[in-house]
Amino acid sequence: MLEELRNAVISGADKKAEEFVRQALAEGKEPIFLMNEGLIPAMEEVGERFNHKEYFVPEVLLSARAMKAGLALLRPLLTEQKFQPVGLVVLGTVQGDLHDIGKNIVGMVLEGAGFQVQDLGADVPPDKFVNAVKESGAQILGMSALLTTTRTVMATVVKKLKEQGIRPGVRIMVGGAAVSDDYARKIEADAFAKDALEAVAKARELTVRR
Amino acid sequence: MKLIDWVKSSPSRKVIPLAGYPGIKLTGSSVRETLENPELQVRSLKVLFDRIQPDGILPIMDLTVEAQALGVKIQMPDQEAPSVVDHPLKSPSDLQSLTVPDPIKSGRMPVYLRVAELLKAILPDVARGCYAIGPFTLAGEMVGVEPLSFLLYENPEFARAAIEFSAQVTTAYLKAQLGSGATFGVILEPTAVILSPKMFNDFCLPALKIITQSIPQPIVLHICGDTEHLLEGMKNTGAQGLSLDSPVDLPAAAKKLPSDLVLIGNLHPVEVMVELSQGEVREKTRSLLSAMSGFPNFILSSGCDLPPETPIENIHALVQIARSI
Ligand code: B12
Repeated sequence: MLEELRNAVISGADKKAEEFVRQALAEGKEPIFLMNEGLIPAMEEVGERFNHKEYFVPEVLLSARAMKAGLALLRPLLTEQKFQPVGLVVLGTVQGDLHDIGKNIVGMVLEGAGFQVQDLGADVPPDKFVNAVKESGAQILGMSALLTTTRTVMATVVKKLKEQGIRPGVRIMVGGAAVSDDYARKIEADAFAKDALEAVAKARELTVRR
Repeated sequence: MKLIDWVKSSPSRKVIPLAGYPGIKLTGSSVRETLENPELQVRSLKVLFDRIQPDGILPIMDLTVEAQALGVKIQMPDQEAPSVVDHPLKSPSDLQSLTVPDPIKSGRMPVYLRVAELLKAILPDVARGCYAIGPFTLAGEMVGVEPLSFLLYENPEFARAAIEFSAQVTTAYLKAQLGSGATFGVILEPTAVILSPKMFNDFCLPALKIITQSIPQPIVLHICGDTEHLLEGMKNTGAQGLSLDSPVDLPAAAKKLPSDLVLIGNLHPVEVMVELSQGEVREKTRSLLSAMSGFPNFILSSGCDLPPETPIENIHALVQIARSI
């Protein structure tokens, strides 16, 4: 059963993934078990395949959608059981930049790894990031930038978070073609990740280190 | 003339950086004005051309012209590249209601037709390119990249129809610019970098072939990012040149690809061309030229479009080194 659920996610079959989760729940399987042993390892496998160029963006998007279909059934049950998501991530692409493919993949893989993700979309103004962090109490703020001309928006967000005294409460993670480890350090972000798998690893580190 | 014959027509390396935006700051106009006014655009291109003296000239890259001509809403900030903000193509019936825009009167296509005319008038002996976005990228703009990705698997007929319609738009727009004075066309197909080789071959390749087969002038295919996995497919499109971005190992690609296919590239537009000093740009250029020295089918360029802030001296350094070797 778990094997089938994982395969449904890996092959991007959203209807099947949903059906397997439904069946497993009907058979009395624990939601947390289906999450940890089904959806999460499946998305890890998808991330691996992407890194090894066996999967490309469309395949990852299909898998992520299948994962979400399963997650949609589990989420209310997990909340009911007071199961805490690993952490809450506010995510978006910075103002002036409409590249959202990479950001979406990162968001979905993070969800697949048990994080809760609040996706603000693309072309997000600094204040919107700041307010979302403030209102949600997110542990992690993830920002994506693919254009060197607009990556400076990230620095603006960091500055605003400081000014409003909320910088200490949130870990900042950045990514996208216009940023690097060096750049992340320069704007005083806490982490940079070059791809979605690394984003999960770093996000886990950042939530543990708090 | 075939692109390869032009490339081999002189003893020194041809060099054509993908440089449009860096010229804008030389005229004091805004990005927006330069993209809307052909006289202003040509003035800025000419100032830049005179400063760097490359072997060919290209207009300012604008990936929104085609979608805008199809009636899609775009945003044009004063000082940044414009972008499409809406993806209105949702169903096969939406597609039926679209017609291929007439480049003479649709959106800002006429701006670029006029640019081609003006460039021909002032630079009659120079190779003059024109741009159009490719069928997969245009379909991605019309449908949205994520929905289009799903369609590839779940409604391949509709995906194919959207991509083939887009190919007609690309063809019409390129033909009109070539008819107005451009001497070669460049298909910009950035979004195709997300595809597997199989999906590229199934969906992009046939559409790109239709374009190259219906246009007699040389066509260059440009896909940004890491395209190692797509080289085989790109080779089969009928393009006479491939413009490859900085992640691609150019000498290795040259070994694999036929010797009459022109390769164009590939200094990093940001990490080299923007961020390094003139001396360092010279160094990087020299080492690329020496790695490519065994391949006559090569035009020196940047891997992708140079951002507005690229120092003019760095572009000049790139051209100078090519001339001196
Ligand atoms: C597809 C694409 C487009 C599409 C975007 C479609 C869309 N809906 O996103 C279109 C055609 C619309 C487009 C437009 C433009 N583009 Co573009 N585009 C690309 C391209 C080819 C691929 C990007 C992509 O999706 N890759 C696939 C994904 C999976 O990879 P990724 O984004 O890198 O994401 C991964 C990691 O970076 C990381 N990551 C990403 N985000 C985050 C966030 C966090 C928090 C973390 C931890 C990790 C992380 O994880 C992801 C998954 O592994 C890149 C080339 C490149 N080398 O990246 C150029 C590129 C980004 N574009 C570029 C440019 C210049 C433009 C335009 C300005 C072109 C123009 N002249 O008009 C416009 C700008 C529009 C705008 N205002 O945003 C340049 C940017 C140069 C620069 N440094 O400034 C690039 C780098 C091409 C180049 N070599 O010059 N583009």
